[in-house]
Amino acid sequence: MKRISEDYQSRLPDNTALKQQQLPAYRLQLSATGVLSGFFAAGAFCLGMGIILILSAKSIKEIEVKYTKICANCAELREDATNFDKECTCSIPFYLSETMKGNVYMYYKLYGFYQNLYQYILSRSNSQLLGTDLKDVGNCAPFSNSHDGTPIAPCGAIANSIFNDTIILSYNLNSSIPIEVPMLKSKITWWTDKYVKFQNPSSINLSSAFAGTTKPPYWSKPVYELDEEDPGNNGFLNDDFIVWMRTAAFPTFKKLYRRLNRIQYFIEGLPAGNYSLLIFDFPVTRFKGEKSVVLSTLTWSGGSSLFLGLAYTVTGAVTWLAAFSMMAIHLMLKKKKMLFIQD
Amino acid sequence: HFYPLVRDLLHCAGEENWVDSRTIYVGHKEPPPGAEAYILQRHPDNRIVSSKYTFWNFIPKNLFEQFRRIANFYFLIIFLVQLIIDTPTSPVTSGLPLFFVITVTAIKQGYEDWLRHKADNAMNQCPVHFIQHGKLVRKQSRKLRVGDIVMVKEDETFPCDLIFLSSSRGDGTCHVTTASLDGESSHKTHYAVQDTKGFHTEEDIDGLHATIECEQPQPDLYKFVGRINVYNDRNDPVVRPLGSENLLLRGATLKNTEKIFGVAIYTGMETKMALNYQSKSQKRSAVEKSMNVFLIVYLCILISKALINTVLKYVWQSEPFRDEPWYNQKTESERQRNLFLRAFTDFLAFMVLFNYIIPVSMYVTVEMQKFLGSYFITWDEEMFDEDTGEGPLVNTSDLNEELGQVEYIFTDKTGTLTENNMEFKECCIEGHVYVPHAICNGQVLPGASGIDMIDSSPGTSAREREELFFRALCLCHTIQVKDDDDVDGPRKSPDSGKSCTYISSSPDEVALVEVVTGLPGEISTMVSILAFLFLFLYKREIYLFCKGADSSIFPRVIEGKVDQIRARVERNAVEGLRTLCVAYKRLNPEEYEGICTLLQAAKVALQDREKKLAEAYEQIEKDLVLLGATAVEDRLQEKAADTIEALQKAGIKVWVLTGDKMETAAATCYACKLFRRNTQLLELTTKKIEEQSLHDVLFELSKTVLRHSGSLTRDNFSGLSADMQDYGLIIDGAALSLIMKPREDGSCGNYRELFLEICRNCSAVLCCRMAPLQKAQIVKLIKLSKEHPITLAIGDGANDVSMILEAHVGIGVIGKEGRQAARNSDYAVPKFKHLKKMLLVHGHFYYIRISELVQYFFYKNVCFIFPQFLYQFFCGFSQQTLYDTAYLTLYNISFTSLPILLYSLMEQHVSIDTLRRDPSLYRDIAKNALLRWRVFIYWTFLGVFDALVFFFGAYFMFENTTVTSNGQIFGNWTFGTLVFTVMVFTVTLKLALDTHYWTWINHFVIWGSLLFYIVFSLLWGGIIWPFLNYQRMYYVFIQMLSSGPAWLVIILLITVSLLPDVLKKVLCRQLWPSATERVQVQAGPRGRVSSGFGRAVTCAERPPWLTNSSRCHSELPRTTLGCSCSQGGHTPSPLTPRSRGGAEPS
Repeated sequence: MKRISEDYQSRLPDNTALKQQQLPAYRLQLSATGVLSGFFAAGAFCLGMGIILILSAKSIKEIEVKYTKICANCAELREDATNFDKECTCSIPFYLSETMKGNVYMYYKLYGFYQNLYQYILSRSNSQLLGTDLKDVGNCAPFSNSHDGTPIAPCGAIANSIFNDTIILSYNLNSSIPIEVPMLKSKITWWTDKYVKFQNPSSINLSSAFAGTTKPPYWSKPVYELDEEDPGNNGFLNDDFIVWMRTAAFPTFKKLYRRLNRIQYFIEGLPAGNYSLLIFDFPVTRFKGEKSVVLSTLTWSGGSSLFLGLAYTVTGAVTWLAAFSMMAIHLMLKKKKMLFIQD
Repeated sequence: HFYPLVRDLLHCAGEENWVDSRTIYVGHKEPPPGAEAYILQRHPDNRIVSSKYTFWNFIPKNLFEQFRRIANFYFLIIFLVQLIIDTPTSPVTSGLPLFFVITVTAIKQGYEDWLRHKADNAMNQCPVHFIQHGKLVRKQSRKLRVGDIVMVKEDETFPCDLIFLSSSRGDGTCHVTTASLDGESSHKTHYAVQDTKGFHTEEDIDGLHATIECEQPQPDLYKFVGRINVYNDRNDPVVRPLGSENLLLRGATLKNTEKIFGVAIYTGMETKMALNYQSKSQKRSAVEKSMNVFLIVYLCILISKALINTVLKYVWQSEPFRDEPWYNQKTESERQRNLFLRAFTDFLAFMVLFNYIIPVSMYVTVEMQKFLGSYFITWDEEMFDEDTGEGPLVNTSDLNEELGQVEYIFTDKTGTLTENNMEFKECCIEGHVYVPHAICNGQVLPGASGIDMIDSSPGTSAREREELFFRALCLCHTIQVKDDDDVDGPRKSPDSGKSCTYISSSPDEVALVEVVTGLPGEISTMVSILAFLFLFLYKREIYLFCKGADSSIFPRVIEGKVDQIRARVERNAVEGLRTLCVAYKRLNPEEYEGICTLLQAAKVALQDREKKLAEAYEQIEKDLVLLGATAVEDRLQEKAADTIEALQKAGIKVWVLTGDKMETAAATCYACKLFRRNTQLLELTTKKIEEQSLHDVLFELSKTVLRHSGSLTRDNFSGLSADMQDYGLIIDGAALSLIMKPREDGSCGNYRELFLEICRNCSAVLCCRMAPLQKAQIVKLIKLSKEHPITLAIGDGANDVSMILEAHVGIGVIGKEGRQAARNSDYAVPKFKHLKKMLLVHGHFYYIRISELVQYFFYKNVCFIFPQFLYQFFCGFSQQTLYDTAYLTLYNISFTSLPILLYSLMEQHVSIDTLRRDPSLYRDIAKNALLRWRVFIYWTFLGVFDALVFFFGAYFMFENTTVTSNGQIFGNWTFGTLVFTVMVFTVTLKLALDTHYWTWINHFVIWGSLLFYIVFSLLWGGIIWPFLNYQRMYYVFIQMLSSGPAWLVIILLITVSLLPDVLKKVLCRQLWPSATERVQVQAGPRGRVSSGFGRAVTCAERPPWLTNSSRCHSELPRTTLGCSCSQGGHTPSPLTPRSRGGAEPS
């Protein structure tokens, strides 16, 4: 008998809540009050958020100046390789009707430039940019070596196609002497990019560090002479270079170029008045795109676009609409049910 | 004077076409010259091979078999393409999961094969004793050859198929059990060859000089014909017939006999056991089938996506400044490549880019869900039977969800619906009815003669009849006595001096014998057994007793109180009792001799032995005198009626298939509420067909049924059809075979269609007098009818195996008639009542779980891949990925896999109690309701919608807004990460909204995997990983989180993508609530009735036009159209198994 009972015991399944599918649980039920209050709350939140966002976006000032057509002459001149070192500037005047208060950011914006092509994104050398191995140009085809076989630094299609227009903003205070608006080129990159991801090769000075390499074919200057004014802003640590190396997600993109240095006339921001842009050119006709300069202020919610605010408002409105119609249906059915019971 | 006659007969038989036979030389001794030509035949050795692979061919063969699965092959192709061409995604992302799946499967199959190898080796190497030159030699089993003489000791298993030559028991018999062959644990008696049973020692047996001729191996376990020629000193050999009673099968075990000698005739893979080694065919569930269809749809979507992108790419690139912009020049080798080759490579690259839409992980998850989920059945305490100590068994986990889809149940009656625990109720002798307490030790107690049918008190002749009646019951059976004294100690109780057990394959006989006699000694005085006629020498007179079903006895009876007994038998049958009739015949010695000759002649025939024996019996069993009848009750299993009622409420059609006779079976059906009092019974039986033609009967029935079907179809879906007029159909085996038989003119489908049409409109069908194969035939007929319903067969005996294997789901009841049904089934339960929980609770859960699993998997991968597709339009169709490789790999493996797996294991959309209480909820999921095209398309469109929201929401954000508040700019990887973050949250929260049953595990897994995603992303972007040659994700996630607008857009996009689904769900519940949803609302979060949505029309508040229809049908009279109880010929009834006993009358 003992053997049988032991056998029986071993075969009897355990009576645990998990095994008997009896774990204590909360049953999620979509009750009328719960769903309706949820919908109303969500709708209220979205509507409120939307209005706040729209208001804050409205407060932002933004101006975009396209300069492709105006600078077409310069571009043509540049197309011809023989005019390589001829200087060509063009000046675009524009009028700022309202003062741009606070921090002002200057962006350049490119239309139809595909920085997100698969081959293009791959064409860079991270070990080179980290400063560890200048000769590592394996992924950089077709811009890995110059014709005589010297490795290019920085190699690859991204670096080669760097945006090299020089943009100078001048303020015409009293229509006679243009004042150059003071601009900062620091802190326009991610901190981690500048201090971790990009490193110059260690050496006494930069030019010797980059010895044995050559400049990218489209560049006019070697990488260690990018910024003549600030020696610390050269080599791979050049801010403009780092900004360019972060590839954009879409063919139309803007990248941060300069920040307003709030001194002198510009302590409050950019005052209203006449301005002009001086541009040293960048070959643009070849990619059939457009270029422009964007000046913008910012708030906590980003730029001047109404998209986020509108999206929130519409979502809130739709949610409320749905909530009201659900309530109507619910009440109607309840009434009907009452009638049944009376019958 | 007897043998020459037999020999003549045998010679005649020898002339018959005797092609497929083999000759075995016992002990490898040549026959004496002149008798026969010595032809050496080659036979395989005694090696058993059940394994599939060898050590050397395992890897290639297993891989080949695995890649024959279309899904595996697809993933392999994708993997190879990724290896060969330059694609944006790493081959690891698809190679690793595939490798995992293949390895796990290979290890599992390899382990199973290793077990088979081990079993084979153990079997092939176990020592066997056999006789060589008069001495006992031990050898490995695999070295055994045909013709060897083998000695087997008690409790040993026979190493091959043997002809039984002699045993240590004096009478030349031995007992075996064939539990491992056909599941019958009873002891069966086998008989040694008459001329050799005297050879008890090795020397004796070595002196045997004989040849055996027998048929070539056949899989039928119960059939064997052969003959043995024993050469004595005289040249004239003695010829003896051999039947299956002389054959000891491999796999059977010797019992109660010290040792036996036998000669090997079939060895190795030719033994009957090996020939019966049928591998179960793979069954596939309806869910799996629809999953495969969906896969094909997605494959088409995948290919068309890749095609569209390839074509667009080349259209877009037709302008040269786009084909090769100045900033992205091609290398020289790229320029020189053939255009078509380039296009093809691009097509493949797009395929690879989008291949995640069909994830390997879905297969892994589905397999895991099925495997782990099946444990809930084995763990279920309610399905554990305390009487037998048996719990449910799961033999396959592939069919879990099929349990929730059953539309037809085919159930056996005896042992499944009923207890198969026979209880003697009464006997009727000569019209007098006796009940058990009036019977003691085979004597009717005086003064306690029970209920009298006729007024006259029993006289002396009646006394004699009574004695004959009980004598017949004592003798006419195949029972063996098993003395408990033989069994080892612990179970023996000290005071049971005469304790003994009766063992028989027929439980009726045990019940009868237990009533009739308390003395086992009386049974062992049994004199003769000849099939189901029993000869008995009594008071120097020879009696022939005959016991059998009423339909086979009555036609042979000429004398006796036929009418009274017939009336009694029919009354008992209607009450659901099993009846047997007993008749006898007095023989004079001449008649006896004649019978012996006749039988012997038939028994030695090699060809058509069965038929000849049947003819012989036909001749002998006539002009009988009817003695009386017995009635044995087979009680219904507990809650059988309750279970059947619940199953019918669940919209399942229950058919009873039984070998029993119609009245008994119909009574059981009434008892278990399969037929209700208002059920109109339609009969399609042999007797009716004899009266009218089959054609007329069928048309008449279909007219009756279809008259109501107009109204039937209208209300059928309202779930209220229980109140309607329902029909029950009774059909018997003979009528069924007429329907199934193709007609001469070839229009075979006609009757079947008509029959199916009738069946479809009947709520219950009873098929009686069914042969095992006919059961399978019926199942197949329904299975292949035009709606392709899901069928379930449940049974407990070996005769149900065929239908269990045939049905979509086969369920075995772990019963008294052995375990064969349980072994061959997909699931086994201890009792019929457990079917209710199995289907209504477990099946329902499994179905909703796996359907959500499948749909959700497709949904989340549409969400995953569609943004990637959209991104191609913005990156010049250059195959740039949107997400980082780590995200691509881990999305399906870790970020979104566990919540759905746990959901698919734990989800209970309504509570177990509710499901059990309200069987009609089962109708909600009938016909694969959750995997219909409409639902599938809804999920797919939801996925597309969500993907559009993710992508364009983030797109507009990036296009028009400066995303950061410090003016810095985000790149393409931040964009991808933003989309991915929104996606992971949306997809997980969508599942959270679908989860009704929140245990701590669900909380842990859902919030845990979101947390894991965040922690992983922080880590992945927070460190410069030295093993990576790119650092594109460095600080991307952290930068994104540090920007306010990114947070705002994440919250907005999650809300927008979840909103429509919530809205749709709420509105559907409100306007068109399903039964399940109503119940959910009634139950409420904590069991209270809350005023929720979907309470529009609850069951209690039926609209007036519906309440009218209930109970408006008056009980229509039962139209009994015919009655079939007589059946010509020797159709073996299940009550009297025909054993081919063959001892000579002494």
